[in-house]
Amino acid sequence: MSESHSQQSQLARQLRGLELAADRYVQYQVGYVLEWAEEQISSVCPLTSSFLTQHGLLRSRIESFLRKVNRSNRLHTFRSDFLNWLATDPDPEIAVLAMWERQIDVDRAPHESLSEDNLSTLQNALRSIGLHVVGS
Amino acid sequence: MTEGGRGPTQPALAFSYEGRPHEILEEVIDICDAIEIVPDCMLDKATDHIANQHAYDVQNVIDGRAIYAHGIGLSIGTVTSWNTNYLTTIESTISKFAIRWFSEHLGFTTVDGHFLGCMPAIPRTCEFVELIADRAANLRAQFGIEFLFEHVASPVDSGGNLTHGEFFNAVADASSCGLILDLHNLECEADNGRLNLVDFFDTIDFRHVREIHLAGGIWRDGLHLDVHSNLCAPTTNSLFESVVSKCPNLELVVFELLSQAIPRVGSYAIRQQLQSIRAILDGLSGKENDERIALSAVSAGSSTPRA
Repeated sequence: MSESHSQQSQLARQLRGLELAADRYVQYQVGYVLEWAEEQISSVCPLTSSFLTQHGLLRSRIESFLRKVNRSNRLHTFRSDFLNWLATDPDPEIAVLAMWERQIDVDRAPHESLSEDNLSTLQNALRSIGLHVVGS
Repeated sequence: MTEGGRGPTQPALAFSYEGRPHEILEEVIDICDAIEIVPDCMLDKATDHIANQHAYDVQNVIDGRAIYAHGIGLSIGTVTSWNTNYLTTIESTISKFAIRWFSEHLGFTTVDGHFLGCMPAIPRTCEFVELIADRAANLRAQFGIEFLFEHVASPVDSGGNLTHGEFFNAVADASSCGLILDLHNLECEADNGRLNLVDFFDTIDFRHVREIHLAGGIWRDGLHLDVHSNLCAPTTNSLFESVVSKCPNLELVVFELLSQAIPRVGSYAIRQQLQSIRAILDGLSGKENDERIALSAVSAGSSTPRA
């Protein structure tokens, strides 16, 4: 049991970025956790996750998020926590896309309006994943 | 109540309901004898209690049918402690629904307070058998209802010195809890090289099996994943036909489908799936219980091509 306890602790510590476990079983489980998180985020944040995937950043951003934030067992809370966290991303396109996507939530009101600069960044980000904004 | 209902000794047929879309309940309820709810997907936003709206949606259609609960978040296999918050969810489920039993998985979803978002399987050791038995005794004492356990599929070996069949039997014997035989999950284990179905079915004591789960999954990177995103593959249906008559204490058969997959699969196909399971159950009546399991055809692997 002590070995299992140790493996479970290593798993938690690695997800928090506190250590890199040598145990192969733990490494596999870390990959499993990240893969599921990618699937879940892709299903609830389609725009931001498409952008991150296209730029090869989805896995690393999720990994960084899980190091900093204790994820919720509610998928939609996980979604909003992830988007809130990305809204402060140093990459302006990621940040503005996350800000915009978090507003696409019926429970959020009133919606924030985007500045002209942010709107232009958003249009660029959306264009890069094949979406074109029409109208004003 | 149920269209073309079951015979007196036939197990109940149920659909697994994750709280949405609620319309699916009305669309399939006439074929079902029972509903299996997933409490984790029916919680309100701020607490660990079942949301009133979800409770209403189920009660509105249930019309005297039995309700069973199938949990995800107890994390009974976390060595330090299970998820104590989840006890509130179990309590809330029992208070909102007159459930026949509550079932959980032989895995863990939380480590050191960190929610994983997935469920690794626990190692198949005598120590874990003891851990599960102790915790099962606590659950029964606290809630006064029956608990069942389900094996978790794991593409990587979860470790331990017991075979899957030995572990399954030992958990049931030590905990006095019934078991869920998830046939798609076992197929995944076999397809991923973790399990020999013939050996497994030669080993397990079918008297422990109270519930059977059926589902369909996907193939990815050469692995068969138990994600409940599809209708059953023909191999799963064949496996079901082979083992169902071997389970003398079987009470419930559940077709599981993720809520996200329901719009894509569609209610017509879901109804057909349920009706095909019903047809197999109807065909049981005349069968001898000592019929030999013909597993060789399915033990070689799934019919689903590898991606």
